[in-house]
Amino acid sequence: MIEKMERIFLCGLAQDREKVISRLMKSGCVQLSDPAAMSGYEEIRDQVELGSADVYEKEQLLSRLNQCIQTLKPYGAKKSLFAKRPEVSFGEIAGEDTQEALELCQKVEELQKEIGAAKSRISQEEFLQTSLAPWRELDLPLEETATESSEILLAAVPAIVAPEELERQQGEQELGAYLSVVSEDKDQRYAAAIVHRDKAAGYQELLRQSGATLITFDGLSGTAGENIAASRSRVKQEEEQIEKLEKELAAYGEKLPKVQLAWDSTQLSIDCQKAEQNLLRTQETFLTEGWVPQRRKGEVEKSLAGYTCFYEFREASEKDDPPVLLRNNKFVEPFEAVTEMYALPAPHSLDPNPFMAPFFFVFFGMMLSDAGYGLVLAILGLLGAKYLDMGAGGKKLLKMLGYCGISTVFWGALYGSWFGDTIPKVTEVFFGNRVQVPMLLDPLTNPMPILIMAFVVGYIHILVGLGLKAYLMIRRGHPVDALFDVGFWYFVLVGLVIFAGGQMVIGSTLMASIGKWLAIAGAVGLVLTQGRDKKNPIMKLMSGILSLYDITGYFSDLLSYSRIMALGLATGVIAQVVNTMGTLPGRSIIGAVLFVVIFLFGHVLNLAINALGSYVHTSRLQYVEFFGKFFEGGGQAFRPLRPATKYVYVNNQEE
Amino acid sequence: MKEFFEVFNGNFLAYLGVAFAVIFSGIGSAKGVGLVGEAMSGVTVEDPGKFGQLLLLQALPATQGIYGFVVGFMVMVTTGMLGGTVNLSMATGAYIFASCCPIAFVGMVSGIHQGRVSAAGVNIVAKRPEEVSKAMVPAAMVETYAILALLISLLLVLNIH
Repeated sequence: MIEKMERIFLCGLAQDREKVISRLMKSGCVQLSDPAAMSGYEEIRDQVELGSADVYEKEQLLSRLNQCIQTLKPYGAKKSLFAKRPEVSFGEIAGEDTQEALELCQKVEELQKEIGAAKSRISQEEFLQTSLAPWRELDLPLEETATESSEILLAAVPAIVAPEELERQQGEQELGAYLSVVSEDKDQRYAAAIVHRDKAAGYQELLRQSGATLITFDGLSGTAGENIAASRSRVKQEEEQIEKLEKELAAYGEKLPKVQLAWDSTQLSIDCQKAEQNLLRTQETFLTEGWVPQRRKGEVEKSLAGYTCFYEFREASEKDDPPVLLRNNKFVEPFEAVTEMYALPAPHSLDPNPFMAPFFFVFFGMMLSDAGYGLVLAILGLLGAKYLDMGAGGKKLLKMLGYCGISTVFWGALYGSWFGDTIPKVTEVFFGNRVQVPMLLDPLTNPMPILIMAFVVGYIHILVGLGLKAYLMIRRGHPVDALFDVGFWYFVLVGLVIFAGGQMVIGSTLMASIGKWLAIAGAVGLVLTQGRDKKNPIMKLMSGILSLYDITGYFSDLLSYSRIMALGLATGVIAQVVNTMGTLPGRSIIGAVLFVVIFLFGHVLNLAINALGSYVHTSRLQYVEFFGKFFEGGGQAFRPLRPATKYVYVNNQEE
Repeated sequence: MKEFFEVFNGNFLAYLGVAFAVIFSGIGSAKGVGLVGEAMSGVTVEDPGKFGQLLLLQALPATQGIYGFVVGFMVMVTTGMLGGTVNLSMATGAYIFASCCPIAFVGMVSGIHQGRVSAAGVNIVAKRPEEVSKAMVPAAMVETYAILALLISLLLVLNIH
């Protein structure tokens, strides 16, 4: 059902402002609305100012804390899959002093900066090493670039220029130099040349013409080999330094929860400040309006007790557009997610969940229809919902899958399908004695009853959908329209089924004629009433007759439910295929091992793809065939002020 | 002519039916799954956390190929092809071939188009991951026809005697 909402109007003293907001945040049941939309705002707008929120600094802090959390995460205590977030009270988190976390944050930032600097020094050294590597064999110190009468040139010569060619050319130009190739790779030769000082310029020109680059190492002394060794030892030092720094970081890892708490606390205080945007303020007072679920008014009253303020509750009128909060019993609640994925119901319409949930439960089971898969889903879903810390949405989804698993077990047992025909197959192949699993219906040899069953549940689904449409019309004071638009269709649809049942199944002419006349009565009613908004009598009749054409819509809706049977059949057949392939190798040790491998792989795949298919197609039947009849969407979700924490769980304990 | 009918007999038609069911629906799913896969990678680069939801979308057009495989396999089981040689009359072979056609052709077209719808749905996951089911339902609409084709193919195949 849709929770009944009441408007709260609250006026308090400016000095209590922050505390009142904080109390409301703690109660978690008030949604403040935009004050500019408040009735009477125009008259007082000159005397009040809109609340504002300056959260820039806090947001900066938030992002620094986040950075710190990300850095420390690898060093924090390892969490098990089933670990739940620590519980704190609202007072603890609201009063959390972020100073310590901030200091920690600063230290972590410094350490990170140092590590970054060391890393960039290492990459510089590595660059130096690669550029020195070709000269490793040169035993001249790098600072020796000249003697009294000669110059020493280092050059990288393209590999396509042969050293003989260079020597021939220097001979032609009478440059008289000594060229020695130090090393070479696939692109270049690295050569050192000694040339007379007077001829140095000419020789450099020659090298340049043959595409060589002259290389100098400024500021280095000693041979290339010595320099490489020195650089390597510097890299080693830096690496040790980084290791040391990372150890320091790791030591802060145990403080991670503190930083996380500070993050949550900062987020909470930002949210509180942002809530002030919904206040109208004067020098001494503040004024605001919001929505409270009627059921929780008492909590608000309790929260506000002790503060000097005025508040009143007003029931929502027809014109109001209150936010929508759904409340259902334990069985229906997990299925709310299905409706929420489609749209929230409009505030003055009705919550489809109590009606949708049983059908979802049944359809899913019929589509997956394997008791083995159902057991897996039920166990994983229900245990997961209980032991995993995954937030309200994830919990709902897991619980829903768990429930649907139970339904799947039921239908699977009906069809005698436990991981397909695993039991008969295994007993036949490996033990030589086929054990048949009891079943009521065999979908493979006799699929028609299942198809008929799918149509029957689909038929009920459609009738319930139409019934809800009528209910909404009656509740809104249009019982006559409900009779015309829904009642007559009931006559037609029910009459047709009685007619068909009497004619073909039971063979009773009385029943057939009752059905026939019921359907005809409905059809006549439709022809007479469906054109009632038209003025022209001919148009009235035309619209009335044309409305009978809608029967095709109901017919195609009904046929759509054949997917229930088709998907059920597909699951069963694929499971059998898996088992058939698994038992092909036959009765032997290797055969058994292969069977287990194929069994696991095949059934996991089949379960995954068919559970997804069942979910999607069950949802589709709800959205298109069911919701299409009556559902009015477009409600805004109720989003109360409440601590939206990420790392801790806020409990209701009083401080 | 006699040689022609030695090859083109009931067995050949039945094998052709199995091949059609697997080939065409497989082509449909391969193309569909591929389309979604290409569209996925762009989003996964930006936000690897959405991979799970995207995988759901990618799995949707995978079913047609499985349906074709199921029909093909059921033909093999009911005719005894798995056991070795079969000896089917021309009429039975033609019947089997016809039974395989719905899932073969509808599976192919619906697989490709479901892939396109799902690939478009990747955008929804990229921008509003909480609305993933609204990307899945339109894709399920396309699959309806593959399911109907599977239904007819399977019912026909299960009736082979």
